[in-house]
Amino acid sequence: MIHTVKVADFSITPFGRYPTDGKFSGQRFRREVLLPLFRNQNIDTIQVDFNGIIPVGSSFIDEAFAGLIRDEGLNFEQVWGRLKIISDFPLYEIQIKEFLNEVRQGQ
Amino acid sequence: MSSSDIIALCALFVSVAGIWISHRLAKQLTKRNEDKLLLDELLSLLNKLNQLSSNFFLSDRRDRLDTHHFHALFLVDYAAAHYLIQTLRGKRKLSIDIDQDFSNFHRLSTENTEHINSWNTEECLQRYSQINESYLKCMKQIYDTFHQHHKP
Repeated sequence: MIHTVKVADFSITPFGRYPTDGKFSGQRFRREVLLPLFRNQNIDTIQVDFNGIIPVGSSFIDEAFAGLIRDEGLNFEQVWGRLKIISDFPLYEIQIKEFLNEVRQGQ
Repeated sequence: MSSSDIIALCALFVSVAGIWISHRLAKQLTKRNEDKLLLDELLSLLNKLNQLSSNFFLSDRRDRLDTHHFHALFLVDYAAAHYLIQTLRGKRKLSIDIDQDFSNFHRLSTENTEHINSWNTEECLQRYSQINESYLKCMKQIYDTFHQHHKP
């Protein structure tokens, strides 16, 4: 089963790493949107659609995606293997992979 | 066929070939100028992004933009630059290999900047120097691509 998440439905102005940085932070996106999907074993592929928003900053990307490994106990394959990024901007795929690899190497 | 006929035919052929070559050169020159205009626009946007970053990272904290405000300004122009790159690749057939450097430029300009006011001067200088390096790599890639497609 494939599940698609539109970041624009979370917010059109996601910003920051923690809720102290802004209402629509990467940590909140991870906990409220991504984590329940990654915990659901019936979902094979999680498509995250970044279209329809101004590009987000890297702190948001790191906290939302690398946080799944760093803070939620998932591993690289469990995240990268099930994730599909939809965006006109190549930066998301490049950076998410970089952040996930950096956490993996740091463990 | 008399020799004057042959000379006339040759003259006609040379004229047609001349017109065809001129037309081809004019087309190439027009394409070069149009590509150059778009590349100049892209370079100007990248320069603006670099200026924004230098003002943000090198300003005294009292004069510095709030991070949210900086991100909004930076990311709107970043998106515009991205769409120009897409246009250059798609409609103008210029294969600019810039994705990694352009992503680094974005990452260095936005990662962990929410608390920049707690950074010391050296940390700000170091980060800006990395940003400037990625900016220069983007510029070099753009110039190289242009010269590959339109030999000087």
